[in-house]
Amino acid sequence: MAAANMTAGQDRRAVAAGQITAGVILLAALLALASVGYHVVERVRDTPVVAFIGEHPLLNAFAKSFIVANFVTLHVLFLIWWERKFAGWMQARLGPKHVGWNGLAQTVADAVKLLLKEDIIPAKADGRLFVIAPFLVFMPTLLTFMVLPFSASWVGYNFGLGALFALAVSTNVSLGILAAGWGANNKYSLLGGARACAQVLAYEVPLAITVLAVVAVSGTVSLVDIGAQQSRWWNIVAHAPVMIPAFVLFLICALAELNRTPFDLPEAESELVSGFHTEYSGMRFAFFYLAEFANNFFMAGLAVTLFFGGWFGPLLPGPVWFTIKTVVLVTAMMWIRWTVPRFRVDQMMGFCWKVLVPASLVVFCASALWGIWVQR
Amino acid sequence: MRRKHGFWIGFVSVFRGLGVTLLNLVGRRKVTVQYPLERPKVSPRYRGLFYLPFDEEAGRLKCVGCTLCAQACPTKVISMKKLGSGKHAGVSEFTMDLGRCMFCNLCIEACPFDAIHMGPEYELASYNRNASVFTIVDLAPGGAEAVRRNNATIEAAIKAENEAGGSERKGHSAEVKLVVPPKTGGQEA
Repeated sequence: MAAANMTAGQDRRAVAAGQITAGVILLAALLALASVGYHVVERVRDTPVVAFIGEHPLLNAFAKSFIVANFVTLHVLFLIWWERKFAGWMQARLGPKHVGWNGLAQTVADAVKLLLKEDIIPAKADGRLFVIAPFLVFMPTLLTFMVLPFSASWVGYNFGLGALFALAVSTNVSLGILAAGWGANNKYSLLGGARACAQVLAYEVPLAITVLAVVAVSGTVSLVDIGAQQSRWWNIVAHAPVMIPAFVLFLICALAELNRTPFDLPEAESELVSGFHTEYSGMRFAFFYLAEFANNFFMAGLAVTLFFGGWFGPLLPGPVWFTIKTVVLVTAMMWIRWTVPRFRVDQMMGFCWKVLVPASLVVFCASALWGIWVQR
Repeated sequence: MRRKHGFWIGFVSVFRGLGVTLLNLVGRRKVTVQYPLERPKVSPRYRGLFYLPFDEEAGRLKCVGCTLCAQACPTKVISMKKLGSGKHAGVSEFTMDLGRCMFCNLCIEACPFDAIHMGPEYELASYNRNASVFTIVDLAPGGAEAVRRNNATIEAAIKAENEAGGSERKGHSAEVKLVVPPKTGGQEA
């Protein structure tokens, strides 16, 4: 019996080693492919057709939004798989395993399932609100990617007020969530929607102030310029005394903005069934899910741009580095999510107004002084 | 002062928690058994499907048909048909309706001859109630062949005894049905 167990253990170890090797090879292949793709696209940029599209304002906007929307959606499919895998490993489980290599296509299968499901609108729901709410959540999420710089030239629109635009647009997510909660005509949904609104609006304040702290240090509001300044040292290294506390505050506020544990009060399963999307199923639910992860990706991207040197990194091209950094940050957020329990509502609000807002103001003043001192 | 203390406990505990999840992530063996693809090795004491041990030396099942197990059973799972009596007692039929069984082990504890055991087989679900009724052919490790040998051995022994001992133990019947449980609704496996 003992011998049998031992061989089984060795088998398992061998299988695990094989899986890790396969994973590393796949990752390397993916990175190589992405790098080659980057160079191909850089070449193609100068061809007449692409140049024509680039000059035509409408075609340009359409082409860029098409690329961004597709990239974000595909990346989100990957992130959902990664989150499930990661959560599984943390709980000594295996996570998805059957569809594709290590369940890599599981999210695709789930998405197809959700698409095929019956489209249910509750009889007493406010039909119009109920129908548009998922899009109200998804649209601002996608819109924020417009100003997110994947590299100096790979940015939807090089907007002078990029950081403020991103913050302003991402707040609108709470409107969609409130619409979903109100439109479903369900007490749990309404409570979830109201909580989401209160939470997102409250945490927007310290979040904006911490972003302003970075702006005070860099002296510019444009995300592209903030990123470009970090070609040698990341902000969090170059301005460590003020940027490390700023990043911690930013991370906490970002978690709250994203409605992720420990701030997942709007969808608190144990209290509100699933909060604002209790009544949603099928395609509309998929949109909420997609928006949640896309938002997560965006917040990580914003943090990378502000604190972690944006697209700069050795060997690999800018957009690839940017994506790698965001995935690392998203993983850190998942790590927190699967560790920390949920706040109580009063704790959550008290923490924001009594701790985070004063702390972020202090950090903001400190970084303003630091900015003056550095520039001397 | 107390509030401050509580704050630090909370602060430190978050990082401790992160450490615990990290250890689970990298350092712990995954407990998932992917059931239809890989099957768990059950412990030797596992309470799975019953079997009636076959005594190779004697060439018969160990069971003597005393019905102690049937009497110990709280849900009347076991019914049997005794074969022979006295020294050469055995069973010719032994039926268990596992649809009623709760795998409580009481029958095994009741047996003075170690003649009924639970094995490692655990896939006992079926699409049909009758399929949960296990006859002696299903329960004996050697199947129909073992039952045939069992019956032959016991009948031969009884015959030999009758021929040798003659008149004083005359008249005992070879087959006595002792326990009749409520209807099981059929006996095909």
